Amino acid sequence: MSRTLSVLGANAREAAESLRRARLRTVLGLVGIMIGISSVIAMVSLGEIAREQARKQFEALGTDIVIVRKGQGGRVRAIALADAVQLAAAVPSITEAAPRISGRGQFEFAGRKVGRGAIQGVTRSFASVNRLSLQAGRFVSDLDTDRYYAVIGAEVADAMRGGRAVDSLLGGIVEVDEALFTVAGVLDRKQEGYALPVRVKADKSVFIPITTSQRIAPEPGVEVIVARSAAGVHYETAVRDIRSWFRKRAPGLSLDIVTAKQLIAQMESQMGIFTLLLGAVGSISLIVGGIGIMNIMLVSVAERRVEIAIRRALGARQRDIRSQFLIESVILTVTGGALGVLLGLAATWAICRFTDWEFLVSGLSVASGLGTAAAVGLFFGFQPAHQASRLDPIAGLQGK
Amino acid sequence: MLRLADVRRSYRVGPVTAEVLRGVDLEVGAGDLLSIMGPSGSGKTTLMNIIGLLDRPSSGACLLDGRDVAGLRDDELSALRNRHIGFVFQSFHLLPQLTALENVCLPLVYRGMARPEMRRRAAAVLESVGMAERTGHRPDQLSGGQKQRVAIARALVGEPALLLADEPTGALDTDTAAEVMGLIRRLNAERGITVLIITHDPSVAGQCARQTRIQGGRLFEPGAAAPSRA
Ligand SMILES: Nc1ncnc2c1ncn2[C@@H]1O[C@H](COP(=O)(O)OP(=O)(O)O)[C@@H](O)[C@H]1O
Ligand SMILES: [Mg+2]
Repeated sequence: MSRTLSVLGANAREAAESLRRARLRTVLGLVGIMIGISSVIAMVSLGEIAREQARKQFEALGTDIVIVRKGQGGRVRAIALADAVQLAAAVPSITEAAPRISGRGQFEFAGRKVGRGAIQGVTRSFASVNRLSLQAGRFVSDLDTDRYYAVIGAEVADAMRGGRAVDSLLGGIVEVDEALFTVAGVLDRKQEGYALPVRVKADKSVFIPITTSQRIAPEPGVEVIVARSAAGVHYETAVRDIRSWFRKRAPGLSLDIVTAKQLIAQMESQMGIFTLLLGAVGSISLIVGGIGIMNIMLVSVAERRVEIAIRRALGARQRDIRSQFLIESVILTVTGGALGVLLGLAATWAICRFTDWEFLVSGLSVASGLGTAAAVGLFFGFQPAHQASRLDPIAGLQGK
Repeated sequence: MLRLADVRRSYRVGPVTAEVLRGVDLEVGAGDLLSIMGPSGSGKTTLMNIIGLLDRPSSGACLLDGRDVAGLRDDELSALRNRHIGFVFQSFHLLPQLTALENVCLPLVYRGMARPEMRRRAAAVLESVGMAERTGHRPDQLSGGQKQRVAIARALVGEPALLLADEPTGALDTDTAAEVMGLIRRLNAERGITVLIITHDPSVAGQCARQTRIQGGRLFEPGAAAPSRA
C-alpha cells in the first residue's frame, strides 16, 4: 500500500515537473526570440534614426563647419585670444571664426536668483556661425570689447522675466557671479543636434564679450573656435590653411581640428560599434531562442505522434504535416518577435531620450524584426516538422 | 472493388523474421458487409493496415478498383486514403483538442475544401449519425458510443467507397455496441458502402453478410465456396 502510494506520488511529481519544464522551455524560447528580435529592432531603428539625425545635422549646421581646439602635447599651452580673433581675417579659406571661452555660474536678476547656467565668452561671429537668432535687442558686438553687456538665452530669460514682456529685460542688470552686466539682447529658442562636439546649449546660457570674460575669470586661452570654410573650398584645404597660419603665429602649438565630414564619419563609426554590439547580442539570442523553439517543437512532435498518425490515416500528406508544424513554430517565433518589436521600440525610445535623438518608428525595422522572427521559426522548426512528417502512421495509431 | 492476391507480410524482429500474413487472398465486392475474426495477434490489424494503404505487403498484390497500389508514391496513397477509405478505430482516435464538428471536418481539410462547405457537410453527416446536438462538444464531453458515432461520421464525411473498422465496438458496452453496429449496418444497406469489420465478438460478426476468419496467417471464409487453398 505505502509502496503504491509513493510510486503514485513520484509519478505525479514527475508529471508536474515535466509540465513545468515544458512551460519553462516555452518561456525561455520566447524570451530568447524576444531579446533577439528587440536587438534587431533597436539595431535597425537606431541606424535609421542616426542617419536621419545626421541628415538634419547637415542641414542645420552646414557641411562647411570646422572646429579648432588645442591638441594634446606641443610646447605652447593655449590658443591665444588675439590669434583666434584674427583667424577669419587672416586665412582666406575661412569666412568666419567664432572663438569661445566658457564657464558656469550663478545668475541673479532684480535681486532674485534665477539659477545656474553656462557663461560663454564669445565674439559677434558666434551668433552667425552657430545660427543663433534674437527675439529682442542685439548680440555681442565687436564694439563691446571689455564691456559688461550680456545676451540672455531663452530659458534663462524666461526665468528672469517671470511673465513680463521680453523687451522689459533689455537694459536691465543681470548679476553673473557678482559681476554686473547690462542686458543687450535675448535669444530665440534653439534646438540642438547631438553631433556637434561643441555643445552650445544657448537656451541655458548667458553670452558676454570674450574679452570681458577673460577679465573676470582669466583663462590661459580660447577653449574652442567654431569656424566656417569659404564656399567652394575643400575642407581639407581649410584645415591645412588654419594649421599653417597657426604654425607662423604660434610655433609649437598643436591643434585638434575637426570638420563636419569627420564628425559624420565619427558618428557613423560609433553607430557601427553600436550596431555590431546589438547585432552580436541579437544573433546570439536568436540562436539560443531558435534552439529553444526547436526543442519545444521536438517535444511537441513526440507528444503528438498519435495525432499525426490519425491525420495521416485521414489523408494528410507528409507535406501537410510538415507545414502544420512549421506554421506552429513560426507562430511561436512571430509571437516572440512581436513582443520583441515592442521591447525593441521601447529600448530605442529610451536610448533616444538619453541621447536627445528624435525617436521615430520605422516601418523597415518592424518589418525586418517580424521577418527575422518568421525566418528563425522556419529555420529551427524545419527539422522537427520534417521529423513529424516522416513518422510511421501505423506505430502512431497503435500508440507506440 | 478490392482484391488481395497472395498477400504476405513479415516483420523482422532482431535476427528473426516473423511472417504474420502468409498468403491472404480476398475479393470484396461493392456493397459487401464483411467481418474478419481471429485471435489476438493473428494479424487482423496488419491486414487492415495493408487494405487501408497505411502499410505495404512484403509480397503479393493489393488491387483497389482494379488498380495495383504497389507502385504508388506516399502522396498518392494519402490521396487514395482520403477519397476512398474511411477508418473507424477501437479507441476512436478523435483529436481531443477539436470539437466533434472539427474532427469530422478533417478528411475534407486534406481535400482542400472551402470552410463553409466543409462545415455544412460535416454537420449533415453528424446529423445522420444522430449527433446533431453535440457538434460543438469536445471528445472528453462525449460518451464512448457518442465518440464512436463521431468517428463514424468522420469516416463517412468524404463519401468513401470502403469503410474499415478495426474492432469498432471493442471499447463499448453491449447496448452501445449494438447501437453502433445498427448504424454501420444501416449505412451499408442504405448507402451501399462496402464495410470491413474486424472483431473479436461473434455477435458482431454474426450481423455481417460475409464472415471470415484469419488463422495461421491466412484468411478463410467458412460459409462461402471454398477459396483456393493453394
Ligand atoms: N511493427 C511490428 N514489428 C514487429 N512485429 C509486429 C509489428 N506489428 C505487429 N507485429 C506482430 O504481428 C502480429 C500481428 O499483429 P496484429 O496485426 O496487430 O494482430 P491483431 O490485430 O490480430 O491482434 C503480432 O504478433 C505482432 O506482435
Ligand atoms: Mg488488432
